[in-house]
Amino acid sequence: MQHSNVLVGITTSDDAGVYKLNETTALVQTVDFFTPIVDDPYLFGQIAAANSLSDIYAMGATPLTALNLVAFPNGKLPQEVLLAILRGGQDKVAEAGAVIIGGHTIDDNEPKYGLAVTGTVHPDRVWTNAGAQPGDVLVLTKALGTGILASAARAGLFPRGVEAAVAGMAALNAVAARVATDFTVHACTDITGFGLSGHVYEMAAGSKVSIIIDSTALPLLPEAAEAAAMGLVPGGAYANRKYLESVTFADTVPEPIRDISFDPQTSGGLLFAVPEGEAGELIKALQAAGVAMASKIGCVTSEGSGKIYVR
Amino acid sequence: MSDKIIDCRGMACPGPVISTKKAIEETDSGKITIIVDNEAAKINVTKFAAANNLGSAVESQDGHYYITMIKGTGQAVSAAGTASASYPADSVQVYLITQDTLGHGSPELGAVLIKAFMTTLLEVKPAPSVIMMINSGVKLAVNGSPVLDQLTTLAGRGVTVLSCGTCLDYYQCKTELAVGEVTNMYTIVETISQNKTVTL
Amino acid sequence: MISFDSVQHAIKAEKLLAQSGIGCYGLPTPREIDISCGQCLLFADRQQEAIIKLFTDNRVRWSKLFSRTAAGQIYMYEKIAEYGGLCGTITDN
Repeated sequence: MQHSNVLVGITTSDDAGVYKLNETTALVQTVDFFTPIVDDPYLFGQIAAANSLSDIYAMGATPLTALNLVAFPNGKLPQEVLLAILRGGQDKVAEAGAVIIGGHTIDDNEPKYGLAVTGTVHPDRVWTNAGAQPGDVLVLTKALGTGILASAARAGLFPRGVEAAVAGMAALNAVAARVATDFTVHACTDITGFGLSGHVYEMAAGSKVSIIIDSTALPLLPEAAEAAAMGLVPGGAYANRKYLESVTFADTVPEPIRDISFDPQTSGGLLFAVPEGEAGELIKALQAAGVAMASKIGCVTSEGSGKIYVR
Repeated sequence: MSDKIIDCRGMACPGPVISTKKAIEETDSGKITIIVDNEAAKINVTKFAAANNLGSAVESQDGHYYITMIKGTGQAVSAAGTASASYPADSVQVYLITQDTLGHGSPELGAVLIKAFMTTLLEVKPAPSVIMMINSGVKLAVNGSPVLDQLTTLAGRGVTVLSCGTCLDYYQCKTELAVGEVTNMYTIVETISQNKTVTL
Repeated sequence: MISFDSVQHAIKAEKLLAQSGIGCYGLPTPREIDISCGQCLLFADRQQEAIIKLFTDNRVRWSKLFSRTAAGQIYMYEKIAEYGGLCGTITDN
């Protein structure tokens, strides 16, 4: 049953839900939480919060309030760990200009943390992932490879790459979203667990187009390709690869790059589909605002049903 | 030569890759077999081997994967001999024996000669480091060989005695091998190309 | 690439393929598969079905069938089938 005020709901696979309140305001809601991917509890809190907030930015909305979702093994880990996680989340939400107004904690064997976030957006300016048009250019704002480097971290390898990955994951997509509001955004999504290929596929299938990705233009985290070549590829990447049958590669694309394209990302960047004429200016503006990794990674070729070709 | 078998079933990723890394680092030369229980781990371990310039062979059984890789030659070939102008400083004296008699002409005489040769080999300096047998030469290393005592003594002194597996197989005497170990063409060619070799 | 239990079988197999005009390349068994020197036959993968059928029809016994992929300087092998095993209909003395 489709409620008439639901602008974006569960019938489409978008980043957050959007509910129209009146002519000028729509409510945007999203939730996400997960188990630690780094050892430091404060950084874990920061990354989880940035990840949860990301979906709000991906709809073109502004975050307002958040609720903590916490699972914690009360007997097994010291309270300081929990406090550090919550402080990390709190600081990140404050950085986003929003406020945590509550939350819920349960006892669990494994720690988990994330946020339920509420934001607002003008009903006519919602960014969905289904509006990409033939001729559009794809712009990605963060470097890829967080899943692979998280594996590397667990193996105690590639510390330089891991450090860059952590910094990238903890960064908010706020600046990128703000810069993009001055441009014509046909579609937007954030890159998370489905990997770049998966989220590009969602955009292509939702927009009913075909997309070409330039593998040589992809922004990569340092040492990610090396780590992938060494077999530090998370199981999720192989699962994504199996599922995404409509993604094909040119013979020249090396295996580590293919792995990176399927690598599940945590708190990844925003992917914009913008008219070709605006792409260059958008990238310049993003880089000037500090989004250093902003890159043109591909284009929308024609109407289709979600075929992705990576060359 | 060491054979390492590491069971990584039940390990969360990147556990198998970490174990493989450790095994490769701790082995100078030998066979390493990694057992995993999922395809992602199998692919990751073979990628790790390739990144370390090691070929790999995968066999699956009941949903588990056995990944084998060889570090070095996979066999110990000792280095303890004198140097020579055209070989690397640590090259050793290798004897390659291609038949079970010595010389051409009368096989009867050849049988006498090979016994004499082996007996003299016990005294000679520099002492041999490696003795490799191919084709009918492998018959010298099996039960009932006329020179088994000599080879056994040499082996006891630390000489590496190797017999070509294909040849033992061909003469159907693999189970009769009485001294030394089975080897393969890779080790044979590597050994004779890196060391001073006398071929009989 | 196909391996054999004994070098006699390998020799017989190679002769059979030569007579049938199917190209193949004899090489020593890679160390990762078996350390004792055995003889293997390497062939193009499109020939696989024809070769297995030829061996079956002529009662040539083989051991294991592998795929071989090059990766830089090394090769990666993966067992596809075993004689009397995954190839299903092969039964022989």
